[in-house]
Amino acid sequence: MTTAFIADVRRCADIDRGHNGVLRLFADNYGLQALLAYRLGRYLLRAGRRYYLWPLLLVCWPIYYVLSRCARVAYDIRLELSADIGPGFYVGHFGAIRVRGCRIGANCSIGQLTTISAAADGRGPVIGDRVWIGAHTQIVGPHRIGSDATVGAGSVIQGDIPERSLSLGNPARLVRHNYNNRRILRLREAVAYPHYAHRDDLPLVSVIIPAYKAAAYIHETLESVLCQTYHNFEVILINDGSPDTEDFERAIAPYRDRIVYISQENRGPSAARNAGIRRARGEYLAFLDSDDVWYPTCLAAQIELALSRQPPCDLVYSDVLICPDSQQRRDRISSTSGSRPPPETAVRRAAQSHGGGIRYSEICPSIGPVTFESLLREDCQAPTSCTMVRRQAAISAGLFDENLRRAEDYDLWLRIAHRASNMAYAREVLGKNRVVPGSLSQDNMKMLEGVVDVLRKLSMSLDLSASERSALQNKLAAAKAQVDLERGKASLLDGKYDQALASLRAAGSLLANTKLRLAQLGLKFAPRLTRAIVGAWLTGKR
Amino acid sequence: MSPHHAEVDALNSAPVTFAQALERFVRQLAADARFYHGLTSAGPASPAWTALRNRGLWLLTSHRIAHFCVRRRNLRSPVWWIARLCKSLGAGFNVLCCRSQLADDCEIDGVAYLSNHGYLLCSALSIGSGSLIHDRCTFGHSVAAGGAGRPAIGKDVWIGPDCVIAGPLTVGEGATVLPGTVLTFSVLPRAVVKGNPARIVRTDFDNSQLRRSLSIVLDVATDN
Repeated sequence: MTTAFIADVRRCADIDRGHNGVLRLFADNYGLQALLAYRLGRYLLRAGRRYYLWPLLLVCWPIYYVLSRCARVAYDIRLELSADIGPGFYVGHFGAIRVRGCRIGANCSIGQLTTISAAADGRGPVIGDRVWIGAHTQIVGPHRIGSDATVGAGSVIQGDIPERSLSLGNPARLVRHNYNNRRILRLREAVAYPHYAHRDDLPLVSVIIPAYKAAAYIHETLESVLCQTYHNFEVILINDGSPDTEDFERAIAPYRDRIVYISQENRGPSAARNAGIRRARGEYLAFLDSDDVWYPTCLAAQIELALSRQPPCDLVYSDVLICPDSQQRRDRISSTSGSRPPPETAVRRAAQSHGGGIRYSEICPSIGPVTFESLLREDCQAPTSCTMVRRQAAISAGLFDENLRRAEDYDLWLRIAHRASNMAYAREVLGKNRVVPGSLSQDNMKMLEGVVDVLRKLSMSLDLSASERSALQNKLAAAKAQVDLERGKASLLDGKYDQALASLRAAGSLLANTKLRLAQLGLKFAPRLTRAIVGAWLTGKR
Repeated sequence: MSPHHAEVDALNSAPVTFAQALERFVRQLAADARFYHGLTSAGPASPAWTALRNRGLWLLTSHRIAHFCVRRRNLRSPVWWIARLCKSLGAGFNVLCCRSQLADDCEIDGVAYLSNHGYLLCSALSIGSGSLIHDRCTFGHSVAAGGAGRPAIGKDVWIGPDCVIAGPLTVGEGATVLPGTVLTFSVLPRAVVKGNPARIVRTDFDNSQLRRSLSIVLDVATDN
């Protein structure tokens, strides 16, 4: 009771700036007097459950009764005990204020002549946090009002109201999405956004979305970002010289006032992301591909994780769900995230499971702390679309390499990790990644080649310790062998037996594998037969 | 419904002695009571009886004292000190008995009818004479605009119950604001507005019939 009431008084003092002391504040704010009675009553209601507090009840219940009756007779403010009102409640003015049978979140404001009440069947409204409700408003019945919503004066609510929106009129209709009511609530920043005290209203997170041929997907992606439970972010959308720019701009037209839109000629996803990073103002950068989506708690969970460490994390990532794409788009800009594309069998398994997908961690599980070496050994794998990095860390690591077309994210994560940073991951699934089953075998090959390029580049450019260097060399050799194996398979199926034999030999030098030996032997003596067998085996696997 | 300009002018000339001030005050009160009595005309046929039972008139009277205090600040005048004491008591009285609040610096020239039922929260800049204001009304600044401007309400305006008038706007002379309106823009003289958000339903409407009594004749305003 006391904490809630202190929050009420604080809130009241914030709104009536220039008041002369708490007593004067209390005398001038009739709503505060009614709230005192209400808080006392709620406390006594709870205290009634404990029998040893019954003597207290005997003394205090009459006090509550008199106080609430006074507020009712004198000011006509009725805050009934059937209402559950969160801390930091503010009642503007007085007169015909009725609150009963409802749930109200923290830091809300209501005006005079307002009725918030349950309908005749007892089902009442549920109101979120930081909601501003104007004077003369009627909210009767089981309506839900989202957090940070604003309800204009004189409205009559008939139906639910989404978060962060402005609704007006009789009957109330939604006038604006993403309406900022911080100013009219007169909330202190620390109260409104406990995660982070603002400096000059800068967003904490910049969400960077590169888009290429994404007109069909961008709507869903942007919606998933804009309905995040965490609000202090900006969205930077980069159109990477997409050929469907006209459709794309039509698709994003409803969001244009809420995002930063950059259009540039086609220079690849790295360049697009870098353009976004240069424009970003947030402390953290969250990357999202234009055809992936986040779950609503994604940013909130990642920010909480990042800021929970001391010093704050340079890189955090979480699990994503990999889902087969029903729309079968072939020409994807970036293939799946991370260095290792999900094996085709896994994707097919995901396709067969009804509607769902498989977790990224089932393919690339994360074990142990995230370090440069664990990223190299693929003990830890960060998916692109659910990774958040500190902007300064990305800038000091040198941004994305614009020469790379594949595995560019893996390259940047490794470079950030190499600068001895603090990194973490969340095991929750916070996003959804679309993959196209058909195009994967092609992708797999290119992706592996991309990884080899990245590792080769890093082994030359980075200043590595002995253990790091040996880990890098091992990884490089393994990746090369994988590439050779894939290449060998491909040329075998194409009927280029000499090339296939050479590739398989190169792969075999590292991958000591009976199957591989048999394939080599078969190739030497009966190439056609081997081709038939391998072909049958691969299709069988498929 | 004559706007009692003579009394207004007499009141505004500087009061010299306590007796004079009291006389003017009583004269104004009598004029108010006659106006209220003409509108309500219930109970024993006497303006004094109306003055005793109409809470709108109590509010108006207490507002006149407060307005006097705000406008004629004179530390050497005993009249001002008495008025100030009355004003402080009156503020609580307004809230507790009339269930209303009226900003002290609101200009009410002549007589405006304020409802007997209370629930009037008014911080308008001015209310013209001969205006009729019903219960459950809020006139104030617009919160979304940062609390910048206040409304000015013209002469002979009829404002129905449950209205919100917010923002830096002017309600023109002889305009009619139908019940339940949320008005956020200026209204031309003799116009009729209604709805939430408000819209103009008629222009050039004569509301003198509406203002003649308190029984609300909606049909007169809306038949078109």
